[in-house]
Amino acid sequence: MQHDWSVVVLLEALLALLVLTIPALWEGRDAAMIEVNDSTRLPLPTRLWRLAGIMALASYTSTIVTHATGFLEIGPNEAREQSLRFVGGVLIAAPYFFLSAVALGAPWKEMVDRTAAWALIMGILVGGPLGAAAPSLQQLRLPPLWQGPPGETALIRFRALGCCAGAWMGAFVVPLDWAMPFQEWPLPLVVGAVAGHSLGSFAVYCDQRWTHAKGVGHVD
Amino acid sequence: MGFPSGRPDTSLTMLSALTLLGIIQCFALAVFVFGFFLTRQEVPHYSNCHDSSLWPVASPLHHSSPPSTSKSPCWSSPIHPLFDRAVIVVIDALRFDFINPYDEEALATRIRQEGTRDAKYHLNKMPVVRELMATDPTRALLYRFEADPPTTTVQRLKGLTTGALPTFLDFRQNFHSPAIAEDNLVHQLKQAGKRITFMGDDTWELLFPGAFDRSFPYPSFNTRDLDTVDNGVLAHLQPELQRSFRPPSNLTASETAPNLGMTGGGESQEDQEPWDVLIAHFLGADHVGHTHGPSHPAMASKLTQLDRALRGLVETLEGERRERAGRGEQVLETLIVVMGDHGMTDDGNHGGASQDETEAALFLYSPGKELVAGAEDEGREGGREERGETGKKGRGVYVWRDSAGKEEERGGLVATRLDGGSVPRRVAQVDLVPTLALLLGVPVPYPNLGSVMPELFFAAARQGGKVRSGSDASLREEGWEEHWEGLTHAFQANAFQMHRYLRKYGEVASLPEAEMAFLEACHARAVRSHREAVEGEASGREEGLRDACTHYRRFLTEALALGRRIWTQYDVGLMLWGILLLALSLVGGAMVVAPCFLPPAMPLSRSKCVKGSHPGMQSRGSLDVAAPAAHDIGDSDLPPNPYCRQQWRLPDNLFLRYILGVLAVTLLVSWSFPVYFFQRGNDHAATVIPCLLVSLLLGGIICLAVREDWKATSKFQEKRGWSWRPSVPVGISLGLVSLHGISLFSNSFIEREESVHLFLGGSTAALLWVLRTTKQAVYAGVDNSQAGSGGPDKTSYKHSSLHPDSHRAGFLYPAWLIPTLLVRVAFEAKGHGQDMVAHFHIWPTLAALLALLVGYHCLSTPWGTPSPSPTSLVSSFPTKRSGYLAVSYLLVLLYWIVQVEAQDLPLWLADLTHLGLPRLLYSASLVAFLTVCRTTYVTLGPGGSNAGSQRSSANFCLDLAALSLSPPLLLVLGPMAPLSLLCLGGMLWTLRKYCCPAFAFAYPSFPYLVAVSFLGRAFFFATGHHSQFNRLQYSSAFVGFDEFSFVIGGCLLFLNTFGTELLVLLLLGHDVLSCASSSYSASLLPSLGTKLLVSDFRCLLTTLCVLLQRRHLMVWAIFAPKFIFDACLHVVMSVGCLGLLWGLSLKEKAWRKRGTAGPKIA
Ligand SMILES: [Zn+2]
Ligand SMILES: [Zn+2]
Repeated sequence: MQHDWSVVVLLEALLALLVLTIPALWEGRDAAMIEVNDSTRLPLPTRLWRLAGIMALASYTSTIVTHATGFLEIGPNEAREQSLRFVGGVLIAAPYFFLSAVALGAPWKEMVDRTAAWALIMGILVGGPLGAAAPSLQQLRLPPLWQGPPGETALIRFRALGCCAGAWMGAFVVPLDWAMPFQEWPLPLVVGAVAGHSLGSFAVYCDQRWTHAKGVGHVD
Repeated sequence: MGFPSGRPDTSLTMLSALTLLGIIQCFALAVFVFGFFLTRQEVPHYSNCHDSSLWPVASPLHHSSPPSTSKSPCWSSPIHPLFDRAVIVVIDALRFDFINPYDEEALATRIRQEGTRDAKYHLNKMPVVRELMATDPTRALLYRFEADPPTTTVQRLKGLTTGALPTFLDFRQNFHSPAIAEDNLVHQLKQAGKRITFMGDDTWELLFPGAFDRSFPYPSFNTRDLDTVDNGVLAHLQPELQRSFRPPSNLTASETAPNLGMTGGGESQEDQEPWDVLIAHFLGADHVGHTHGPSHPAMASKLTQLDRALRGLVETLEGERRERAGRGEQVLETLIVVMGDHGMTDDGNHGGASQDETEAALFLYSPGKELVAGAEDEGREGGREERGETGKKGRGVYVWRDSAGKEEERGGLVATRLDGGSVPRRVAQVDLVPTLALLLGVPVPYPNLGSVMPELFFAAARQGGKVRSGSDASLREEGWEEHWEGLTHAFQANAFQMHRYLRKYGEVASLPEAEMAFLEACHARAVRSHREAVEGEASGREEGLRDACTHYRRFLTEALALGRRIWTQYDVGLMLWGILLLALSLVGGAMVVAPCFLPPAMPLSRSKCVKGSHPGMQSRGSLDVAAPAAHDIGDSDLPPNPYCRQQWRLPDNLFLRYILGVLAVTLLVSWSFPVYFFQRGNDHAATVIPCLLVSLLLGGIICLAVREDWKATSKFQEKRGWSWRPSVPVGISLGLVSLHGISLFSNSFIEREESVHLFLGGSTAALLWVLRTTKQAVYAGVDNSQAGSGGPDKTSYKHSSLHPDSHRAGFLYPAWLIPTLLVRVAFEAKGHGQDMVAHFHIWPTLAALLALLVGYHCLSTPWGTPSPSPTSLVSSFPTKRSGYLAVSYLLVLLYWIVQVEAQDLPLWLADLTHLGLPRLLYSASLVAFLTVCRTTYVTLGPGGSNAGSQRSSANFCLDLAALSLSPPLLLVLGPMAPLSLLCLGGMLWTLRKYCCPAFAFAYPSFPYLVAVSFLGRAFFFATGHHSQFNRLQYSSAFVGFDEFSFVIGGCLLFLNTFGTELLVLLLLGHDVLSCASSSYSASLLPSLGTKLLVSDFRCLLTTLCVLLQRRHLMVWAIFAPKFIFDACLHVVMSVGCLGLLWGLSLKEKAWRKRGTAGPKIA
């Protein structure tokens, strides 16, 4: 039971890493390609790579959703309720992320659509799972993010934490004058968020493995 | 329980230590500045005419011909080309591409490539240059005119007249231009009896007071004023030009330009003599750049206007020439010099060292004789082998070849190797000084480091004073010998002057000996070959002269290079020294302040008990939130922080003493050699390192001597069980501060520093919010679990009962968001400084002012009463003060309204509001300041409780901020300022709300202070400032004053620039004092000490980054101004912090002394 979902987490983290490598390769190759030709005549490896990336992204997203809502494990009624809560969490979290980002310096006039898109992504990655996991907002706050009981909620909390921290760190790349394509406004933040998400999964996975083993040893 | 007030001096000791460290920091900054900003000594000597008798090789007087003017020329022999007159047109910020002719096709390509459609506004708007160059390339020369940074007008004018290199420290003279103390071109022209007419930028009048015979200065300060100076120059230019060639008999009083608005008709005959040198300084292009940037329609029309002006100038002079020739008079040869003093960036600013800023344009035109000997035939060049050929008509063109024989320069052009085409040559700005001096026949200024432009002296001297005939047979027969002779002569004069200057300078200050010896050798070699060529046989003469030219030129180049090196070279030893002192003082400061933030001793068993009681904490010990607040919060009967209050005494702390010892020794060592610091040109690293070693060694000896103390200290620590256990929030905040420090090393982050501060400050605030919510959650959880376990824990119980408002914490986040979002609005609005008219809206301003007023009214409490109750808000005292504030805000608003709306007021009324209102407010603020101080010190005696005295201290801070600082600050910051200040207040208030529970012990938490110091600095940027000199809001110096006065204007500018920093300081003081529970000196001192530390750290990293990036392209444009601003902000803040602390501490002491009971601290 314990190992069941931790394997899923591991797999998902690996997929996320694959996703992470895409923007760099993609951008680099495209930049070289566009000069020569239009993008329809990309070489086969690039096209395959892109396909793999899209598939990884799709499976990754579906993992998140299924995992967060517990769609597979719980009965249909509760599942519907959880999905609703998921959507509710997204809807509540996204404006918060948008406003916070603007308060911290995100563009709010010319690239407002991109900022909004990023806020939506963050809402899906952070707000949705939290909303789905917590029956009410009160429970979300108690216990705090990093001091709750272990288990599946720990996974959700840690991912949320990693997501926020990753997006925060991604912001440092934006103002640098490297003029690289991956510095486009929300891209580093999205990459950071995804990386933090998978790092959070890793952390919980390791924690489960080691703490569990150690704990058993102590008890014995 | 009694507070251990038997040790009241602890805080004074800490304060003294902080003050000592502050002084050391100022000293360290000064040391660093001396290593980084090089100073050049001024040599008070002047060149004069007789110096030519000192020349090593006698001037070739055998070529004697009558000098062309009545005033005999100095320093130039008869073979020099000479001009009788010069028209010098300075077009401020004339970048090279403004004037460089592009053909339409190339322009279209460029626009396509760069994607700048706007380029059409500033390119190709001055076709007169191209036309003149096309008509006669030998009379019109275009150069890239390379300025030495700093590219500010005053510096450039100094460089363009003295020929000396500027140093960065001269920046200060931009605010207050004193007269040039060194020898300069204007002085030499005056000495030679030339009559100078000046028109344009009044900076010249400040630099050369009384030097001009006729002068039409116009104010240059207001950069929004695009036309006043230019229109003034245009109004006077043509009349002045025409005056010069009308016979004096024709010049009746009625014709002397009656409508020019000159000073009446009482001109003497003396004033009516025509000019010899005419200087016109156009300022419009620069102002267009500052206001709109180069790519703007206004620039197109400005350049077109200038084009017309130049056209008129050329036509008038050519017309005069024709007229004189027609009348059979002597023709006066005139040289027209059109130049930019510097360029501008694409934003329209200047001051730095980027190519756009340094590359100005220089255009020389002579209506009469040729400037360079033109090549009518490509085969003839430079008097080389081709001379032997016959049948080809040719005139010499100056060609310079490198040692390999490859052609480097031809005429005024650089030969490009690829396609054989040539482009305008680069000329250093200082090169114009000797060139102009010798062309006009005056001595080269004493401190000049430029070298003559060779092509201009290569022209056949015989043309001088004569009308040029198409072909001069005798010249061709003579070959090129005379050309080379003229050039050698010019070089000799130049080299003589430069050699003499360097020797003289070596007497005043030290120059590197090896380099000087090399230069001496160069000079001697050049003189020797010159002498040999002159005295040698006639056959090898030309060859010899050319050889001498090569050597002279080498000497001149090397000398300039040496000058650049020693006057723009850093003294790394001194810089390191300063950084070391800064770092040591930072460590010392940390030793003073940090113990207050470390968790004090906690019995192991108790901590285990607390931890064990919460099931969620078991597995996450490493992530535990261990804010210092959490531990001693319950022990309210103990002193707030036992370590801070009891253990912290200077003698107990060995390491700090070590550092202080090292610093003291260092100071002694460095002050005992004052000469050492102010001498330049030596390598100081060799002397610095021994000094340093001595200090460290002495510190070490002290350390050994007090070993016993060390043991005692560690025993003491053991007994108390004290340990360093950093907590997560403190760690994160430290991480944020370090992140900011790292970001200083990248110019991208410095350029967008406003966002960096907002981002990091906002992040810290978010962290605080998370702490606030989660901490309460923790304690709630503990409470629940304890109900079962039965062991009541005082700590958590008290805490949660103290603050039942945990459910409100969640709503504080929006409360934080609103002011922050408003700050973004304030950032992007351009209402600070000068954009008064365009950005003033009455209703938002009124609303913001009202909100400020209400905020003040709610925060201020009556003096002396023990506890604030709702009714006391309407008691008389705060009402009176609020009333005063309301009136002054009303006056501020009135001032703005009158400035913007009322254009047609009667003059007296306009004057009254324009000048009277601000002055009234300034004086009222001074009075308010004195009153507040007096109320605090005198009226309010002891006898109140500790809480009462603390509240009065808090009130003191708030009143100082609101009553005496805010009205003048609003006034100088402009109509967007109320919004900014409102945001500032809102943010600080929310931050305080986040932290108030944590405040309940002695002093606010470390993250709070970090957030405040980030956000406080963010308001420096939110009010439109930046770490750039061109972002200083000069217009604030004119609020209430029509004329610029150095003292008052400086004060207002200071207030405008650093006022927000002081305001943040006072508001922080108020927040801390009104929240913290212990005596104010104990709570305020760690808080302000931390703020000082953060600022010191920032300062240290800026200096370090300047040291590391000193060869960076952007060092003068970005890093150096950033360093100056950071250092200034740090000094201002140190002075403010320490002043406030000393004031309050002394007050506390006085009260304690005076009061019988004294303020009980309980
Ligand atoms: Zn200028
Ligand atoms: Zn300017």
